[in-house]
Amino acid sequence: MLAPTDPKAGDKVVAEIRAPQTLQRGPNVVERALRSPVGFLFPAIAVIVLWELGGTFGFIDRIFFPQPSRIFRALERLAAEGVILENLSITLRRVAAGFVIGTIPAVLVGLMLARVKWASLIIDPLISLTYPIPHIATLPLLLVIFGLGSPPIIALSSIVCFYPAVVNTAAGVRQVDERLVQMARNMGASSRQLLWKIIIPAALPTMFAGLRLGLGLALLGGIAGEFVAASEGIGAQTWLYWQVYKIEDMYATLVVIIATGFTMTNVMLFLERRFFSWSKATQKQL
Amino acid sequence: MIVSLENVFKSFQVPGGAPLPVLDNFSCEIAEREFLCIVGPSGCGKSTLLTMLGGLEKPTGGVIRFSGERSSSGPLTTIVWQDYALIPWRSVIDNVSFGLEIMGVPKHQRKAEAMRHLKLMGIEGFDQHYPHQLSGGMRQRVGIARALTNNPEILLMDEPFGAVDAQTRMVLQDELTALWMRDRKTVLFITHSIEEALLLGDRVIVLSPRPARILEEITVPFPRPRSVDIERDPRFTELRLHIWDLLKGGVEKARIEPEATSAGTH
Ligand SMILES: Nc1ncnc2c1ncn2[C@@H]1O[C@H](COP(=O)(O)OP(=O)(O)OP(=O)(O)O)[C@@H](O)[C@H]1O
Ligand SMILES: [Mg+2]
Repeated sequence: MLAPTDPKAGDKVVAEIRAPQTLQRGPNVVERALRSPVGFLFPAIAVIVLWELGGTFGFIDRIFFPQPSRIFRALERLAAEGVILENLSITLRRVAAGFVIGTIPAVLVGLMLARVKWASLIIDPLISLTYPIPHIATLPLLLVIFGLGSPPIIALSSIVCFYPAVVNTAAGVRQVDERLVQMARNMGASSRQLLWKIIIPAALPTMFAGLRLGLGLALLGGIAGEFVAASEGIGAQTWLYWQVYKIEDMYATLVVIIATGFTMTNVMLFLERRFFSWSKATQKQL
Repeated sequence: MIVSLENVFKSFQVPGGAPLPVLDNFSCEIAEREFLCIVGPSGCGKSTLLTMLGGLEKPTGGVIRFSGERSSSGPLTTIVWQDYALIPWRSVIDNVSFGLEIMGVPKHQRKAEAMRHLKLMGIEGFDQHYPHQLSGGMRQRVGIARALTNNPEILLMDEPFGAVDAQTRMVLQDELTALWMRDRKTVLFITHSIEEALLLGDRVIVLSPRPARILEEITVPFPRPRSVDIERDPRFTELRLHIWDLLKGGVEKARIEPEATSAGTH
């Protein structure tokens, strides 16, 4: 047997692991700023400043890419005239209607797909057949059916947000932990209790992610519809400013559209984090 | 309440294959207020037996009969699951009161009942925590508290301590024994551990590899209250070796007769 060896002065050291000699430097000012809660704004601000300067010094064409300061002034003017609020509220009403009309049946169909055997045999093929279509392409057909104005726009919005909602709802229900279903059945849960107390809550995080994607698409559908089919609404306004060559005003309305989409998505993300934090934490452990 | 299994036969229909027999003419009786342990090789059909008793699977043949007077207000059986099966979006208290919620017990009443059992399991300070914030041992305490809150006639426990570390396991064994001494509920306890079976059970049933048959029913001779000290008893060593031989014999038999296991490949 070998005696345990004491490290002696003369022994050759093969490896040594110890605390780092130099004090590790904390993140510098720039990194700290970028990591702060509003840090995501700084790169955008940098682009805006460069754009502004590029215009001032003549590197950027000021006709097609008007300087941010001019866009902002146009935005101020349009807002003061009430154009923004009026058109934005029209658009939001269409998008909300499309979202509700598309999402409610999507959730019901999604639940059926996952829980009713014969339903998936009939509906699954229909969905896989129509899912890959670029749904915006149905707009001419919708115009034929509904004419001009809000109806075809709402229809387009609801079609585009139907798909992510239906697919995610079905996926969410299919992923429900079978052990929980067994547990609840052993406790004597009726099928209604099983649905409301286990299946739907378990599917909710996945379902809600589908609704978030759907809401983004509903806005896209609404704006695209307004380009062609309406004379009111923020999309219609953007299109109009392009036609009459009011480039700065066109940019101003685009900024409003971008801000709207950004807000919608982030509100949904906030709600997801707020209500479904258990889901991520549980997945991480499995 | 007495549970009797008469010639219970269970086979699973695997898609595109021969039926897979899991329980073979299984007959036994679980006495009133008995603590019955079941040991058997992995995959022999222990969980299947338990899910049938829990009403989640129907036998392919034979009968499972519950007879006699009810002595509790709750459901016939409640399962304590090996992997806890806690609801991740519910707090501990809402998990523990789940069974009563299903039964339609009013909110304040089921919370009080749940709180009482959380105390009993020594986790009363964690009622507002979520399962993912607990250690494995604490999760199983919640699982047991949930089952006890239901006040079932028969407690079905499927390797409840299989996934916790050895020390926690010993503590939980002690607590379970103490609870059982108090309530004397009928318990069916599945385990891989011969020692655990001998420490906890009034009786131990040793199963063969799949399809499970009863190799032997052993009455555990040690008086209660027991402690791990029984492991010093020569009869303990003798019984342990005996059960080990039975299980080993079964394993060797399974190896000699490959057709007995080749039907089911995972
Ligand atoms: N729903 C099912 N469909 C098909 N086969 C199944 C089903 N449930 C269990 N089996 C099979 O039945 C056999 C017994 O399974 P069971 O889970 O009862 O074993 P076990 O004794 O509990 O094993 P372990 O000790 O590993 O938990 C296994 O071969 C398994 O593959
Ligand atoms: Mg098992």
